[in-house]
Amino acid sequence: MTTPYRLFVDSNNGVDLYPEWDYEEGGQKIEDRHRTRSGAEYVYTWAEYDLIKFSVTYVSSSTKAVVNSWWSSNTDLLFMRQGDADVTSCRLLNKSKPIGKLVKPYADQFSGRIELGTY
Amino acid sequence: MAYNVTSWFVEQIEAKNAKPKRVFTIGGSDYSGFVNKWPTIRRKWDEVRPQSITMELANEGQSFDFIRADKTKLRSSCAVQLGFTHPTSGDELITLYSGTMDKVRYANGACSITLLDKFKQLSERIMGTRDTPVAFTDSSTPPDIAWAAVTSYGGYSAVASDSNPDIDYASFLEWSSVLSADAVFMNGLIDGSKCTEVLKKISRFTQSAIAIENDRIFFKRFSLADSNSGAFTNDNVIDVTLSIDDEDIVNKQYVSAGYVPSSNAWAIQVFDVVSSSVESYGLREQVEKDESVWFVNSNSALNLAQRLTSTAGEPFDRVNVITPLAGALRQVGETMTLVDSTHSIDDGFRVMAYTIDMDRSVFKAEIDRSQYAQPFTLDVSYLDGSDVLA
Repeated sequence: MTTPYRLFVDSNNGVDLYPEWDYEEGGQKIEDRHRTRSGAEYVYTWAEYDLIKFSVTYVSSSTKAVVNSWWSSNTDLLFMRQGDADVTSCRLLNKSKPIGKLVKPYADQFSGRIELGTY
Repeated sequence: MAYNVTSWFVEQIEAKNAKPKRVFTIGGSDYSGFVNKWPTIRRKWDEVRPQSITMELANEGQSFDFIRADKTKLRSSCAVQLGFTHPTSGDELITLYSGTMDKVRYANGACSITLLDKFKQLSERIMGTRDTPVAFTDSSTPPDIAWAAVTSYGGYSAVASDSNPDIDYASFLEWSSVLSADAVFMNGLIDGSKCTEVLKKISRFTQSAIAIENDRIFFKRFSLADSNSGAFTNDNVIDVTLSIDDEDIVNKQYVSAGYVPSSNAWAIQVFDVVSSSVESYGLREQVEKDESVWFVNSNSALNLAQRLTSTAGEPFDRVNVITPLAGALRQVGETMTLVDSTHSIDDGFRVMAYTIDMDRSVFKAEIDRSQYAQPFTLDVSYLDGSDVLA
């Protein structure tokens, strides 16, 4: 995408990211469902949370280092599309370091996958 | 013995698509956001002992290290609540459990806190000692001894009004009047028993419910015909199981009374027998006597004997009903109608115990008819009349 997204801690600490077209917004509900003897369904929704996933390429080594350090420390982050008013409070949910694969033939450009979840 | 909630709350909890709210507080501060697993809460009509629940909490941010730093925090009052957020008036919550911390365990970034309810304090305190036992006189009643156990020796409030924060005073008054009307007198010589043990004996000897609901100890003898407060039907029941236990039957009950501690002798023994039950099931005998609390006279002893044979003379249906949270407003002692076509049941039952699984949103009630009195229905136009009303 040409429009950058901003992943940041505050106005002084943040990075710009350019998601690939696999950018996806999803969510999960925490709920219980029960079916009674007559077939009626009772649903109890306790909470829900949002998930945002996308790939990034051509990420500089400095951006890579910042994002990976946030992942390492489970830092509380903010995420927004540049110019939009909506800001999402989130954390990096990746099971392993988000960014780290070199982009051929560059020695200082990386790719990876960002997985964000609200908290 | 019912939650004091608005009709809006009842509408919400019985809804098929609800957005309830679970709250966990320590000393009034909200820690709901840290709960990894919500507890299962159990109540039973005659289980006079502390009920425990365990809260599984996230502690990656060391949010619960304050308990380790200041161990007097173990005495903080904790509460588990369930409710809904009203669009204009805010949260409406019922307290399903409250108590203080018994154990705190830290492991793998998590913290588990085991709580014990109001009976904990009563299980930590004793009545009398071997050298100076607590003596009650012949004019005492079971409620007199229970009141002393909870207040004077148990350390809870002795305020004789509805503002008592520890005792459901209205239920205590009603319970006292039932036993006074039956002229039940009890004597006692208690030499070091825990307050909960004394209450347990009084519960057994009066066949009364002594339990905790709404964070207060309530007392009730299920002798009055109560109106059914709702119905379990196929529409709100996930499953029903029914059992009959031959061991429930007692058709000849002996009760000893008039104990003389100085000579370790019993002056009175009475019994009540249900002949029809003996003919049908054979003789099933049982004896009740205790050297720390005992009935004063034969009338009081016979009251228990007749009570036990009337509730246990015939085997009764024990039913376990599993419902969604829609059933969770029911409390111990309430009477319900159960309509179950599979077992051809359409009767009133009393809730004798229940569990609420707050993690899976399931309510399980143990209901039976052992202490269920059918409500009186006037079906003739005047008392001596023979015409039946339509």
